[in-house]
Amino acid sequence: MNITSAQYVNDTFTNEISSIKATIDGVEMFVPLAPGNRHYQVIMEAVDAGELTIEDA
Amino acid sequence: MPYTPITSLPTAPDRTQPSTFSTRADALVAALSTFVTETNAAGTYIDGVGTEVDADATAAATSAAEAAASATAAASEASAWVSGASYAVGDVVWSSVDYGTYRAKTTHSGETTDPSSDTTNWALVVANDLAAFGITASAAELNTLDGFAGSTDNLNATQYLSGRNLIINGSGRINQRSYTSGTATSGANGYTLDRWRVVTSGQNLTFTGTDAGRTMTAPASGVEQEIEGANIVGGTYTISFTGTATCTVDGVTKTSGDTVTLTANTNSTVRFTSGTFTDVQLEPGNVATPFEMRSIGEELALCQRYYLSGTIYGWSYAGGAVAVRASLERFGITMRVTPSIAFSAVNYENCSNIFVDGSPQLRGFGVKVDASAIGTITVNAAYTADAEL
Repeated sequence: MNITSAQYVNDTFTNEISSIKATIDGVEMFVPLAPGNRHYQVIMEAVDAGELTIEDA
Repeated sequence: MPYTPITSLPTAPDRTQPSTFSTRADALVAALSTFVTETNAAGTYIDGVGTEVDADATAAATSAAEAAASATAAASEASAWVSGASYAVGDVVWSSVDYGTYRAKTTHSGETTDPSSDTTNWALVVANDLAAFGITASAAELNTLDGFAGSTDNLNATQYLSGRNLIINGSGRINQRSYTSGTATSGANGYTLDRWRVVTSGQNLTFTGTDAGRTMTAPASGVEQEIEGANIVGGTYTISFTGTATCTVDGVTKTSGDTVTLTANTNSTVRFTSGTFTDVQLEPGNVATPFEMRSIGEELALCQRYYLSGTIYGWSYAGGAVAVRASLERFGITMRVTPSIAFSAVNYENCSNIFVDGSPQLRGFGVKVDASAIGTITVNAAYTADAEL
């Protein structure tokens, strides 16, 4: 998967991080902070590899 | 002897009628002698009838005993069949060839064919073995059927239960993404027809057919389906499919009908490369059974555990230029994991910037937009929820 952007999204009630707004393979999507989600897994692998930085909300 | 009725007695004398009293008294006394005689005759008659009843009962009991004896003789004491002898309809004999018991269907004589081979004149009553009734299975085979524990050579009835195929969308009938045959994928493991992903970015899946069934063609690097480990109990499974593609299960090449050992609760991957494939089935046991054709609704529901799509029709009232909840979407099923949500074809009225309110959930998500100003806002959009492996 090709990730071209990633930014945290805050919950509008709690103002805490609730998901990641990312563009993956050209598609913008809201990715939950769920270890079993394949998009979240790829994002975190890219972050761990130093290939991606998730922007603040 | 017929019964003789007793003669009625004369009119009895009456003391209130002195003029006739003597005459009637004399007549009544004179009649008593005849009355005694006729009464005794009646007793004799009744005694005779009783004797006849006793005799009839004795005769009936004798007949019953004789009938029972005849039945016993017919069933278990049949005489040996004699070649050339005369027999009447109903006669019972036993055969010295197969030791079965036979009853004559015809009156005949001079026949030299044993009853076991003469179905024209004899009917089998009691057989010496099941084969005589046309049952040719061995005892071992009968036990196999009884226990539903077939070998590779026998029917294994348990494998014909529905829900045995671990592969979802094995004939490519479900296409929720509206994937167009031959469209290059934009990333590795890009999904095409439901549950089938192209391994290498830029390659594609081609297919022919309809929602009733499709034949798929895999590229050089392959198309694969990853099976959720939660559905695998472990043990021996059989892979089967139709087509020319090379098949691997967890990296090991398999031909249709081969077995594979799967580990319980561990994901497994079936991949096809460089050829056609359809009717893919991975089922418990060591026998490949016919492809399980699920209903289209059932197949779709299985796919939606991993991916689904829908449409949002949101409406709300904004108190100003703030973020407002426009809609709450609920899925018809529970997805495998919390899905990623993507929007497309969005139309706004007095608002912009559609986004998921909080985190997506296993069974739905909330939708918010940024209102432009105080007043009514509407937003329409298509969405997808992706919980694929």
